Amino acid sequence: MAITPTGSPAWCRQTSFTDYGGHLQKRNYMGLGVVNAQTDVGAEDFCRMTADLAALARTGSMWVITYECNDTSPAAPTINVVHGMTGVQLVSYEGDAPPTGFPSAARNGNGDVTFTFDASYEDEYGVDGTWEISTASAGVAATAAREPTCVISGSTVRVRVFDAAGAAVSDPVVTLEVG
Amino acid sequence: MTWGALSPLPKRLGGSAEEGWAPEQHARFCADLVAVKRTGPLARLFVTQDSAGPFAASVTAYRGQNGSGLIYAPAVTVNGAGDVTLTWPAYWTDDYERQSPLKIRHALPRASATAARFINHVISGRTVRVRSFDADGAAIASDFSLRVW
Repeated sequence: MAITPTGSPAWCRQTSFTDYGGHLQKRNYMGLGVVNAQTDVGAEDFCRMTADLAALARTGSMWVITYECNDTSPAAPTINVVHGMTGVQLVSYEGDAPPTGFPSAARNGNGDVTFTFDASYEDEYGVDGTWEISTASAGVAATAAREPTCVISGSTVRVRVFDAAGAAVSDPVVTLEVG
Repeated sequence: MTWGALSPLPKRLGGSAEEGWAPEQHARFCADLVAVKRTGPLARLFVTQDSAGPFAASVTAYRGQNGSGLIYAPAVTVNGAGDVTLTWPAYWTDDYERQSPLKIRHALPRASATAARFINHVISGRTVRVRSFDADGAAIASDFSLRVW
């Protein structure tokens, strides 16, 4: 019989160690602990595992994206690589034609892109979890001075890239991390 | 019923909240573990660089999925003032000594400074080259933190 996982997906940031099976009164059956580390998993091991996964789920990045702006011939940016909590995309795609479940991106101007994310995503079991963007940071792949800025607005993140003089940069390659 | 030390692996799902592992909890554990694995950084590290020639640089803190501590840190090559290349081993070895080729896909360096700095990177396979600049765009040595995926 199929089951529904406990709690909510990691990106909701509300998962407790108890959702993973941790319990403050966890104990080994009949008080007998591990007698053979090669074959046994003790309650102590298990409690550490559940607490540490809960810790990671609270702070893990939701998306890590590397993309390239198309400004010389103006077009939607090319998304080179995406690592998301809901999936990994190693084959590049155009920002206006994202694969299902991956963010879209639109060009606003030179070095100026807006990413749009879904308000919720499903995990492997079909459990829907809302996601609110809390942080965004970016870095520019370049050989000269470049600096990005990020602005979060609802389910979008707008990234702009400037040079040392404060002018917009054309065709930058950017890594964006969204939490 | 689970039998703890009286029963060898594989562990059977079920039992009480205090002594067992429910399938619903196991399913949530697996889904979330995969989620955080997908976006977890390969490593986060801190690099310092001398402000004067020959601009010696070193990794002073390293937390990596391959290990925590400087013995796991990438090799550092100084290309010039504010210009450092970090090179990871060709293969990643996990805790069970299984090896996989290592390729870096993303990098996010941030300067550690008391004045304005620009800091940029270039990824090439298992190397990340980081350059730092002052507010005028001139190369300058700068400490920085770096996350790579």
